[in-house]
Amino acid sequence: MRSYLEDPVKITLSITKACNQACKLCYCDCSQEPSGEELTGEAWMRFIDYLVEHGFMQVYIEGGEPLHRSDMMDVLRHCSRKLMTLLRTNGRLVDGTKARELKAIGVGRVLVDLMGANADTHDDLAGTRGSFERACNAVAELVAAGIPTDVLTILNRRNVGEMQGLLKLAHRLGAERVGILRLYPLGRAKRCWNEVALSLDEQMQVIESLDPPPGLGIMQSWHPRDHNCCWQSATVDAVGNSIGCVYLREYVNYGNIKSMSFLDTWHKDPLYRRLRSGEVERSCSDCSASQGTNGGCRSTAYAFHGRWDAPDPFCSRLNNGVDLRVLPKGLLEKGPQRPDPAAA
Amino acid sequence: MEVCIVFTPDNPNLFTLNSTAWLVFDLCDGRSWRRLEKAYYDAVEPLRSPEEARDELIGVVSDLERKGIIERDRVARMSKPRPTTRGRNKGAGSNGG
Repeated sequence: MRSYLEDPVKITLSITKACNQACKLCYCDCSQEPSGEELTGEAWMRFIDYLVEHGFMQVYIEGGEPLHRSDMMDVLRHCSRKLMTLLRTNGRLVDGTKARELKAIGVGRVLVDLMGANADTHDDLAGTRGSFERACNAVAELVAAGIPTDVLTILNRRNVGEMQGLLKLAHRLGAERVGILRLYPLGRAKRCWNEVALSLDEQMQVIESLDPPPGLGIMQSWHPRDHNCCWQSATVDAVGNSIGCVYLREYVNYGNIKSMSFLDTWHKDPLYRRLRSGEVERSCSDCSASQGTNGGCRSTAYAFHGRWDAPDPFCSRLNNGVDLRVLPKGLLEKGPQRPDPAAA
Repeated sequence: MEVCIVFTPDNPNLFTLNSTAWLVFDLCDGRSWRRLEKAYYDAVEPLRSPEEARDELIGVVSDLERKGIIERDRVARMSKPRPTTRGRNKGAGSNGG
């Protein structure tokens, strides 16, 4: 079974590589100040108009920290009434006033990163003292303002014993769902991989032991929910590159929206077309049955095997002995690049 | 397979409509309930009897109203609240490969 789209309906805007925290697992390698190459607020608003004109229905905005941009509220105000708008934030700049402002301009859902169930863990991973309290407060204020709010966390060695506590915390704060995300070998996370990565068995034990409080939803992408999202993935990074998915940010570049239309990257780039086709060597029947796609995540498949059609080692049925605690040779040296689709 | 996706900005959400809801949504263009009932029956007969079509229509209209996708005005005309938007038809689905 393969899912497909003629044109995308949803898109992620990785709107900045600047952040007001110094997270150890940052996939973006964020800095405090944005580079001069990032798209301006006016350019993002023009792109949002393009998205509306071309039938997009949803935009998911993340960073870096989006609210760290001084023009972010203008961008959100520009798109929230035209597109279903989701915002991912570390919550540091979200107090009651900001939460009510986000509600008033029509932001549809906010996702707040909580990296642990207590301040020691979260603040250590965020590299910023006091950030746990601010993130928890953000969730509570967003919920109080009436915005559907989710908590996101990246499962790693530092917080592995806190997942159940995190579910309880998120529930207590009023979150609707908790998204437990896998650790990707990208940015700063890959440089501390040996300290933070878990074996697949350790990850599966945690996922299988979760007991969410009544009413709290869980989002996770391990077996039997390992999804190959590429068929619908559309992402533009902070400088305007079309990169398919935020987790492909170091591996692909389908073209820049400053010099070509986004839909031209979608329709014409051979690697983009290939990844959307769902052609893979091997697939897990359970994951395929539950997700309607083949082969699992292409980012981790490529990171660990170096082939676009390889099986995803984060699925227990497809892992085939890959030790997820050990990065493949050469991955640390890999930066943004464009693999030759014919050679993969 | 094509799908219809609707965005409701007043209560921000996306809804994917099934074929029945999509048909009803398209028919809710400001027409009266009586004209809506007739148009719906014309579209689904002979698969549905008039009574079945009416019951089905009442259920779908109620669901679309509850989600804020359509609204009923004071003279019972059914229409889309502005600025509810509908996505153009997409080739979304599964090719069974």
